[in-house]
Amino acid sequence: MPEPNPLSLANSYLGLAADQLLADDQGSAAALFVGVECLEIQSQVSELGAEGSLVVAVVSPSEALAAAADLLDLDGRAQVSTLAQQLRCLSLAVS
Amino acid sequence: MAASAFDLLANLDAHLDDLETITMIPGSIPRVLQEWGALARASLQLLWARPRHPDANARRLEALLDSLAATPGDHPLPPPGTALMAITTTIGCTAEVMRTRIVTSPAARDQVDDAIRASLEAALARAARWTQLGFQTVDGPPDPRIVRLAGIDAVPYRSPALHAWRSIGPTDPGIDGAVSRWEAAAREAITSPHTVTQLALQLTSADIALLCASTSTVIQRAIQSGALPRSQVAVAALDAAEMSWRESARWPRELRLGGRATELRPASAALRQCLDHALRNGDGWKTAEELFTDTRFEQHIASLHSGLQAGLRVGRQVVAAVDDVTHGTSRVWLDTSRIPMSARTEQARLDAFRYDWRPNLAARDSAEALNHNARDAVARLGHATPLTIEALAARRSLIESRDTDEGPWETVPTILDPLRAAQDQARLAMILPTCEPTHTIGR
Repeated sequence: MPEPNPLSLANSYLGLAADQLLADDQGSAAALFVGVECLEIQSQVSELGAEGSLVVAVVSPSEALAAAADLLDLDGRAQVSTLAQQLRCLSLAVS
Repeated sequence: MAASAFDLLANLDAHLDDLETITMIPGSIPRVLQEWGALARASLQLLWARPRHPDANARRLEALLDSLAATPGDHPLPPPGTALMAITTTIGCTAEVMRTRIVTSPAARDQVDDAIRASLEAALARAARWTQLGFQTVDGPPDPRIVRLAGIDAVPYRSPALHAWRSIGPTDPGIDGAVSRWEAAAREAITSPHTVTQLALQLTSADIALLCASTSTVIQRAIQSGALPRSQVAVAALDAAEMSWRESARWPRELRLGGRATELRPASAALRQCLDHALRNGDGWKTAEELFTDTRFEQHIASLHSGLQAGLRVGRQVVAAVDDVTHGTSRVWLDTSRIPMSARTEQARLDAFRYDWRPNLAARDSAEALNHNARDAVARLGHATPLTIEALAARRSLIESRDTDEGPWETVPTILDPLRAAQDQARLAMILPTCEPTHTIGR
């Protein structure tokens, strides 16, 4: 197993949030827009070297996005902090 | 700038209006005949680009245009020319737009075929009448081919289905440009088995779902505002396609296809922002009033229909890519912890090399499900896309039914109206027989 680092964990939470938002049974447009944005951020986080295959607890999309934001904040890089901020906004949007 | 066949035919009318305000100057007959040669060649191109070509009804017109097209002259004709040149250019552009390959219904193709032929015949007749009059003004001899064209009695007809044939490019503003750039980026990201990634495939599928959701909303708003007939067929088909693409964007956790989607990401974000800006207001969709204040609903639907057509093309590439990672040489990776016990010996060997992922075997359930989801999504999008234009084309029947509406007045059938029935009978009694009166032989 790869070493669990914050970026990998954040990536896993992002994957979880995107999956739940895309699966939204209500077919909500807001969930779809946020889900696509999640995939886009996940793609950026993956390019920073995160594997993102770790098993994470199943939580709501809003909680998963907030957890991913907290984990990205641990990284400290300005580029990653911007993504964390973006995730906090998305977390509020789907809460 | 994006242009549809509908816009171009409307533009053609404007150019004909301009032409009819111009008086032919003496000495211009040879030049006008050369311009007619170019106009005939462009018109033939348009006739051949129609969805139902070859068509026996247009054979006579084609023969006439063929003889005009053979007129010798420079190619292209040097400026300055007459206003016929603008008409030639517009017809040439329409032919080019009609060559765009799109998925449409047979009904839409029939409507467009009729519309193109009727509009072209009417335009050529108007241009020919102007030419004929001009030749008379400058005391030139009449050209029999122009005379024959001038005699065509056709009424231009604009089917809303003409909105389906559009030309969009990456420099176009708004949704058109964003769709065009997204299509190019998505195609680039997913067509190569060496560069395709899971996130690129997921993002592409989710973007197509967004296009479906956006189109469905615009049609719903148009129905709510009374601009379209109350039919939920297109909406239901688009919603089903949206849900299928959402499902296709969801990958099982045990499968992975790593790598970058760097080039696709900005194009995807731009498309999403464009749709968000044009169609949404904060967290929700705009109301019908907000949507159709600055942009007519036909323009919204035409633009989104181009997006769906792009989505369909890209969707087919998604299916091919998923099929390749399921059955091809470069396979998607499978989490070894999900491999059944019977394969543990293989895993033990892999563990020795500290591998947690291995190439997925063909016909594994989860990868097959991905494959099935992508195929289902393309099929549903292929069903929904033509219905979008059908919904727009149904507007014509809505207008026609409104035109025939006679308001609150009761219409009394002739048979029930004794006065009118008596009048009709009296009129019939007054009609004289058409044959000569029979001469009787007198004694």
